[in-house]
Amino acid sequence: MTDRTAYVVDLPEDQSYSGSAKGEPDKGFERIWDAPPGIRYLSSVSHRVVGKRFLVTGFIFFLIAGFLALLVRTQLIVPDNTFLDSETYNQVFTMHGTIMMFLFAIPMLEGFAVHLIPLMVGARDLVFPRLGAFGYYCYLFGGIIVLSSFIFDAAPAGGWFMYVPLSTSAYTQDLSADFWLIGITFAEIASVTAAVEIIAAILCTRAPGMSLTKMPIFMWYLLVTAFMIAVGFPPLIIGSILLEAERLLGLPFFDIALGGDPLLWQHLFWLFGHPEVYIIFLPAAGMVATMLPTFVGKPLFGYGFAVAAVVTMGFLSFGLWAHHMFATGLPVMSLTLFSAASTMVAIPTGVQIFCFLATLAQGRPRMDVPMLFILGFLFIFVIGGFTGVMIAAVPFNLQAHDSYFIVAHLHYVLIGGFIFPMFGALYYWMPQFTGRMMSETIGRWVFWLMFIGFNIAFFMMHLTGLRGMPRRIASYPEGLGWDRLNMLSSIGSYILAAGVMLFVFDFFWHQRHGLRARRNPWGAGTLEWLYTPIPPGFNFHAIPEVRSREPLWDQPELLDRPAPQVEGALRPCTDHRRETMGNDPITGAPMQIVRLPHPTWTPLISAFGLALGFAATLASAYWLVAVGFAIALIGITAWIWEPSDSGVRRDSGLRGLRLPVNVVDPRSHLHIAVVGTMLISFALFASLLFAGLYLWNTQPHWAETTPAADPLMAGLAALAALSLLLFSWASRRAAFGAKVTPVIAVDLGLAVGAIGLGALLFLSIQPVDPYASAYAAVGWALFAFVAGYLAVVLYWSLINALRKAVGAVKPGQMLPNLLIATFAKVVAIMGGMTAAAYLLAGGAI
Amino acid sequence: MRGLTKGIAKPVLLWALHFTLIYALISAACAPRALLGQNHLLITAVVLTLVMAIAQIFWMWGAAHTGRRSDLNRDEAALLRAGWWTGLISLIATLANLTPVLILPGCHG
Repeated sequence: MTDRTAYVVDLPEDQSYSGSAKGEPDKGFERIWDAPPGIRYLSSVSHRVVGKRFLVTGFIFFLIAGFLALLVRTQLIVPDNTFLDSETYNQVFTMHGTIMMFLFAIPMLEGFAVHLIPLMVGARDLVFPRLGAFGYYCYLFGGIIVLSSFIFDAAPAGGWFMYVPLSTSAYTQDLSADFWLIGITFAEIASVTAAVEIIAAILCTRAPGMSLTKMPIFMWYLLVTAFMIAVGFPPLIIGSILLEAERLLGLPFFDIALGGDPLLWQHLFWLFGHPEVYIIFLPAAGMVATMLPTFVGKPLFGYGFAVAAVVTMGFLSFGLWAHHMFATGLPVMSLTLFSAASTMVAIPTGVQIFCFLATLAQGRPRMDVPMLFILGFLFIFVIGGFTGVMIAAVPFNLQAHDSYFIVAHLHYVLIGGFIFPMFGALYYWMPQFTGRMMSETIGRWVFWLMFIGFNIAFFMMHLTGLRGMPRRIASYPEGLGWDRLNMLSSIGSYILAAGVMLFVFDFFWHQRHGLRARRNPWGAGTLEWLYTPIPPGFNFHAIPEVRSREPLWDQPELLDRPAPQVEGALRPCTDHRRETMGNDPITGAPMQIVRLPHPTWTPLISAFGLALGFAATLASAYWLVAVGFAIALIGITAWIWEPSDSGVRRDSGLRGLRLPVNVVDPRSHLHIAVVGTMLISFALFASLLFAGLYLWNTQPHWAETTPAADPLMAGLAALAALSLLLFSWASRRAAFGAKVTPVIAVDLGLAVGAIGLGALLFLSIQPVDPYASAYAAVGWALFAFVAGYLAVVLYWSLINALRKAVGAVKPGQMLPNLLIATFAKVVAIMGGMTAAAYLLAGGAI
Repeated sequence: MRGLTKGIAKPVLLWALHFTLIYALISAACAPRALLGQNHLLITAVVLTLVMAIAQIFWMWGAAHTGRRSDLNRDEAALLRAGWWTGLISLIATLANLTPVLILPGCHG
């Protein structure tokens, strides 16, 4: 709830607020939303453009990874094959897994989310278009870095999970592991930015009247997935940074000779890796839950059950990570705990499947191509789920560990749980992307080739695994009972590939010859089909009020007239700006008008600078690293140095309702985004704390012999954290006031607090040699982490002070003070916890 | 509606907390530092589970009680149903967390 009322100026529509940009007065609504032509297309930040970029790039990576899979299957088609040497084979299967998991599956779901969320919730664009574009470019450049390893003959070969010690410098002396660690970490920026964007977009920019319970079910799935990304990706990001720091700087995080522990990497990796499976599966299940009612002609059965199941899965899936480590010697009691949680997750999964089956039972489904893929999903995923319950049992898991049974299981879950729904979704939503329908005839061929090919390829692997064939072997001798099964698997993979290639053909063919899609071509009930899907630059002339979960079925006024004439909010385009409605996150009641950015180069420049910095790290060209990061800083500064839109009230076009623009309110999209960002940040911090606690608990000798941090300085650091907390509180109060200039003192107070806390933490860790032990290195990593965040507080508060000093901030435009208040508060807490950890580790408290 | 929405997340948040604490207790007892003995582990885990389970049963009872009100609209009823089901699944999952401590005589079986 709003704890204070922000200062807002109420001006007539023909007057602009002096602090707010007017937009493009020479352009009408449609031209304001047009994508820029020519080379300037790269500066477009529209969700339609960025979403399509994610989808096309993700699909290209899918084809590359699929080609690598065919190389693997060709190598294994006969015993003692010499098609690939073992080193190349290692590279091929490593890159297959890496690309599929990091550069295809997650970006594809981001592409669907970016493209469909605004259309489905009734917004004109995503809430942070520049962040979406920035995330895309980070993903693209990160993917190029990973793929370029082939050019330098340094493709990673240590498996998609990069286990240590194999991937440390001692055993991987070339740059292959660095390509993986740097490229993937960079690409993951896209995932975490997407998480923030999805959370804020779904919670804050829904159509008037769309409460949480009137949201399309897909939005619940995406919302839960976004929170899972926010909590699930940080352990891997931290693990990757620690491993790269070990390789680059020699810090002994995983070095057993200095108190490190290879199992720490496995914990960090699988803390990400298992939720990752659900992060991939849930959006796909959400697509199924959206498409299924369309083809059955009835609403989804058990909306409430499905919501309960997806929220529960979001939590339970984090309790399964160690079931990937059953064979590592963990205590049996731990194994049993994870076995219990792994079995439990079958319950909410089953609830969802039963919701789908009950929906199917309500009517006679139309067997269009998307429906075939939905049935394929149900068949394959349920088999994958059954084998999942089997390997949740510790004794069977130990037997099947690292065998082809596991390969069969994971492909049944991932191909069944993601690829089949994804192809169904591509057929279903393709008119949204191209304005044309794909071929029903070719689509049926695609489905049957994929379905038959998949089952031949992967069902056999259950048997090969039960006959003892281990994963990741480049060849095998004949006569072990694996020959025929491998031959069949390889033939199945070729048939599957033929299905995929036929889809590619259909994609190009339909762009020229496909039927033009009419309005709501599938007869769906959700809002994205309101307009005829010939892709325009804009979404809604007027944002309609929503009174139902299936508005196109239950609100006849939406389809009984041409879409541009449908009544709704924001039809007047008074300020010639890109705008959408902002709502209360829970009830959906209109709360503000959200101003959105126009095309800009800043996301591309910022991402390019970062890419240059990361790539130069690989080449050890450290001057270039500095140049790259300087370019990124310039790009980000230009990005944030824009006129504020807050402080004024405008007509929403909704029965005379006047709403503030970019309101200063804890429920606003920007503040929700900061909360999401701090959730990710705290998960990163918690991952480092976990690393420290883990080493303290498992390597007590090293923890006892590591010198303690300076207790006096650590105590003073705790006090400095408290002072930063106080300035955060002051900044939050100032955000709601009308006075501008006096708040500069608060901004400078935040800056001084950040410098003081950083300096004291630095002084307190001085007695500890980071190279002496893994435990000591984690202590320094904690300092470096908090110092990085304090640097952001310093930079941000100085920018805020400078903007006020030069008159760029008018009364009512103090939203940045609210945002930095929340940011600095969490940073102060992390700084305080670090100081406390130093005191505890040294035995001072 | 705000309270009903929170009602979906509360039981599973409690499960997450319970899982983390049970994992921490097992780690404290079974890692080389051996902070806890088996008896302490068992007693702490049982008490913790009882507290958590009672809280979850209380929330489920609250959801069922609210569900009997006639002034709920369709949306609120859907949220309430979701909250009750997350409560039930979380309760079962919380009890499942306790089983290893309850049935195994020691860290290594």
